[in-house]
Amino acid sequence: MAMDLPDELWIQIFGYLEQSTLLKVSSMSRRWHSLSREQLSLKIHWDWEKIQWFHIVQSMKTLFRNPRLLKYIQKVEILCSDRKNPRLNPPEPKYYPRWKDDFLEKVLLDTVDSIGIPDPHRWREAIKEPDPWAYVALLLPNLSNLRSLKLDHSSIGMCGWPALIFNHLTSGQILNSRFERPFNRLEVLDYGSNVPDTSAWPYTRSWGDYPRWPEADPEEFLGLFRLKGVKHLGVWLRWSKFSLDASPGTQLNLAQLQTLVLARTRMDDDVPKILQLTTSLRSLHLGLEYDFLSFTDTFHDLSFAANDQHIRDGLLMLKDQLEHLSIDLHYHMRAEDETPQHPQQWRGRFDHVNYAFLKSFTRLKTLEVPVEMLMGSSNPSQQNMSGLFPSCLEKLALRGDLLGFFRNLDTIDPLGYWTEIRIFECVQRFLNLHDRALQVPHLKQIIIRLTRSAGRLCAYDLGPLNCKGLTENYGILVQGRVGQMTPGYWTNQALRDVDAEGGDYDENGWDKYYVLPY
Amino acid sequence: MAAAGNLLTFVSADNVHIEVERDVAERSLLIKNMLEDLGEATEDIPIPNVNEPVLRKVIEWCRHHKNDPPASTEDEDSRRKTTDIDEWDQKFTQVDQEMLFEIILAANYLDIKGLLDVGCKTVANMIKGKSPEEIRKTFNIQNDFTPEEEDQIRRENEWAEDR
Repeated sequence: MAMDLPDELWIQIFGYLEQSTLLKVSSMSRRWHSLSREQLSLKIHWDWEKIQWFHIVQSMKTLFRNPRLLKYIQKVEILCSDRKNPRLNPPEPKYYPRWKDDFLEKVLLDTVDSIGIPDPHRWREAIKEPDPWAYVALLLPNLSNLRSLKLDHSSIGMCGWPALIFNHLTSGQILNSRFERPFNRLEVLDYGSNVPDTSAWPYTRSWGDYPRWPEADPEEFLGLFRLKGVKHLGVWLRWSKFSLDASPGTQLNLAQLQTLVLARTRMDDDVPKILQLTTSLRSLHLGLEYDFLSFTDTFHDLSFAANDQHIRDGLLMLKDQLEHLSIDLHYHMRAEDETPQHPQQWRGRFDHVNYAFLKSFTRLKTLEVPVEMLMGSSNPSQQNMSGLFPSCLEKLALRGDLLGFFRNLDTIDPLGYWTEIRIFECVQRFLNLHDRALQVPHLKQIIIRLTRSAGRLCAYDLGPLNCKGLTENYGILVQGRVGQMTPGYWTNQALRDVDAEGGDYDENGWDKYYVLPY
Repeated sequence: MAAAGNLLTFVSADNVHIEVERDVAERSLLIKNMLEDLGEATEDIPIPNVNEPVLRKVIEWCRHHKNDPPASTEDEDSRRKTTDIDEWDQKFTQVDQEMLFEIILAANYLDIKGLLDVGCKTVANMIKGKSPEEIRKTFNIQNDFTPEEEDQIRRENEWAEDR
């Protein structure tokens, strides 16, 4: 047949084919081979809990034996798929037997030697061990067309090999002539923001079992903020002090960022330093973590405390550009701590987040915040959300991050803390406002988000809370969701669509998908 | 022959005059942009790359779809994943392969996104579920790989399948 189509139309046609058919197409002829490679965009997806070490070695060997394959890889995802059952210990590939491959080991050792990497002995040992994360780290800069990289939270505690490579490459500490345009095309980078919600762990654990992640290498993280092309960045910042000035002469590149997810961070006073560099940011999640453990018996003070306004100041710099904002508070309580942080001590912490604060975010479409932050801790049974939101708001999630901790303290102050019922009634009061449709004309969804957490403290009484009834009465979709609290529903979509997970609602409009097993 | 009212006249590559309503013709972004530039079209509009039978088919498609909402670019990705074709379009594309390719080329030239998508999906569906030999036969493809290249591709593909 004489008739044929031009290349660009074949490429469009191949775009409709799945991987298996594309592989067939690629073996038809030279021309189809080259055209289908456009679409094939090979992807590495390793489920870190299920994959065999053997398989990782085999795959890497094939890649290094056929170097042109390295160019085809655009996506790498190394994640644990089991999000409902996060492990106490960081997961790792099924390791045994600790199978070693001479060819691969030699390639990696040669790489380490030829790039002049700092601390080469450590790397050599890790390769010989063999350490799966060190292997992955040395593969990454070879992938010159890498667009999207998602790494499991376990990579952070496990010596942080992948991010060390970023750090060395972006600070000129290693020779990058060995690699072709390393990470130049990387747009999506998720470094461990899938960290599970440990507050949702059963509370029966003894002190020694308290879920503690391994400490991270403080050198690990700076490189993540220096990559020039990254538009969507998610990081679990696993260290207590972020020192932006650690490495003089290198530049942070954040102006191009559209999404920033800082999961479980303690870097309070550096938040403004980072945020002021983000001129294109549309979507921000701040996961703020506090605990007793690292501050021997002294409570690490909250950033929103009256005399410490770093985070508020940082946020205000973005008030004319942010479209999606979520904030969560993560409070580790230790097992013997019979009297956790008293609600009185939380009072006043958010006082300066006054009415004008969120209202001044004139582009905000979605907002997810702890109720305490939105309305304070006084008289929750009478609080109203009237006048709090900018008129552009479309979706609102009220988080009950601290709910679990104060439940049994009725005797102290029956009005002084939020409960699921008080949040529900607050939503009802708001929907019932005569001028609500004027205040937030675009509002279409409200979610009440409760943590299934803190063991003894949380047994919610959801029976009387009929969200579906509110939806029917007020024409605004109201949903209740119980489960893990990290990360945000709408701030995270470039990395992972949390909002789309779950979705099995009962007759009252409650979804308990993310409930952890006891 | 000049067009009257909201009727335009296309002239096919084989010099046949075909009358077409303006709103139908404007499914083609090429024509739409041209008309916007010209204001009022008083001349015949030559369609130099498309002959009469193909042009009639294209106009038939545009007439059936003249009230479709404009294609949005946002759900580009979600649309790409599916090769579902609605019933009318399926019937429409039941033509011989040469005609199908001609329609795709015409849709590409005239910039009719919806029709181009339907055509490409149809060809994609012709590839799906076929054995390599059947694909070669259907699209008249010569295997021009050397044995070494074939071997290389087999290894690459095994790797890609095995992830």
